[in-house]
Amino acid sequence: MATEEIKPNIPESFLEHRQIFDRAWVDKWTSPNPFIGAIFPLLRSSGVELTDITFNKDAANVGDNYVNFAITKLNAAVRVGLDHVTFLIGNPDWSMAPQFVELFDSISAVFRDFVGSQPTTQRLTLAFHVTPGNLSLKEKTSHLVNSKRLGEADFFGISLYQENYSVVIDKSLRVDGAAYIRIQRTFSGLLSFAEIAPQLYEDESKALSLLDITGID
Amino acid sequence: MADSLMVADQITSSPPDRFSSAGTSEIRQHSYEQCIKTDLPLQFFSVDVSPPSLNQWVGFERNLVGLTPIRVIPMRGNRRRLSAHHALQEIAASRKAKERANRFREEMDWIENNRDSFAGRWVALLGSQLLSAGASAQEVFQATKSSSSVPLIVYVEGAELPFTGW
Repeated sequence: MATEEIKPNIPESFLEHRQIFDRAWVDKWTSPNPFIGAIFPLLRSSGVELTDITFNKDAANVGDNYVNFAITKLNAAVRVGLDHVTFLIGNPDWSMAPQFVELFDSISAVFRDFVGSQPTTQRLTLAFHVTPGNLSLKEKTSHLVNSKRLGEADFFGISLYQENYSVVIDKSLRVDGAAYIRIQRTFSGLLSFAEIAPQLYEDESKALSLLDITGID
Repeated sequence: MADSLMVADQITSSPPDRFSSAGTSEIRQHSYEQCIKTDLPLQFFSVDVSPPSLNQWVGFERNLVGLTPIRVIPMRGNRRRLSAHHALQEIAASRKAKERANRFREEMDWIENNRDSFAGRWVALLGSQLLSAGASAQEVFQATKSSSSVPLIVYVEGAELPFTGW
């Protein structure tokens, strides 16, 4: 009797993209906050209302301040701090990537015009839990390390750091029998989301291929 | 680069109100360095669990400034990456179309700004960059033949005289 094929799956994932500027716009952080007027019109078509815009109530210092635009329709948010802008997506879905790229690039362009400068750097983090399907994570992760030296384990985690890129593969604490993967990459401040997206896909595929997971494609 | 030392980890948090900042104060943070120094396991980066909502909420955090509690919508099975290739193609096509539109706008602006100087001549433009100018289209085309991009080759007409009636 043939074993039933269980496909690998990504039950949960999260993306954060932060654009960091070299100077703070403290002078522009006034009341009423002008960033709301600049960004809100762009988000109206994504269903964002004034009630979706909030400030961080728990700011312990000036650096903690931000205004948060919740895009609930897309399970995403845009956060404007005093020297950075952060784009967040819960469970990013590649089928929605064109929509996110269009929206985030528009916001980014308006934002750059508004503050009159470009980000010095952009840092993207993609984290997700992945179930391996019929694959054995014990076996697959043992190939990534010197398991003879380390000894028996149900899962071997690894981390790899390069100058602008890092990947962490760990046992998922959240999803039974799954792996947790976190990818971080730093980009030039001049790149658009449209230019970043192919690199993200490549990084994601590469990380999954370390576990021989290809069935999600 | 303190931030680079921070590690995003698997964090569960109490449920925030959508993407608002509510709930963040309940979450503890530990830096990577703190964990290393104190022998805390990495999962101790930020764990503060509110049991009733554990299954509905999850957050990942990786920096000192603010946490990112986030609502997770159930995935649609394996559909997630099925269309990745298609999505990337669409993004690339959209990007090219925007670049072409921007370039064309720059070319039109250039013509408007330089009409008087180049009236009656052929010009080859790539965005706001003048590649070549000459008396005939053939001359300009020959001059730009080796260009890796396809320039706009156009005859610049002089500004129209004001219409004064019959």
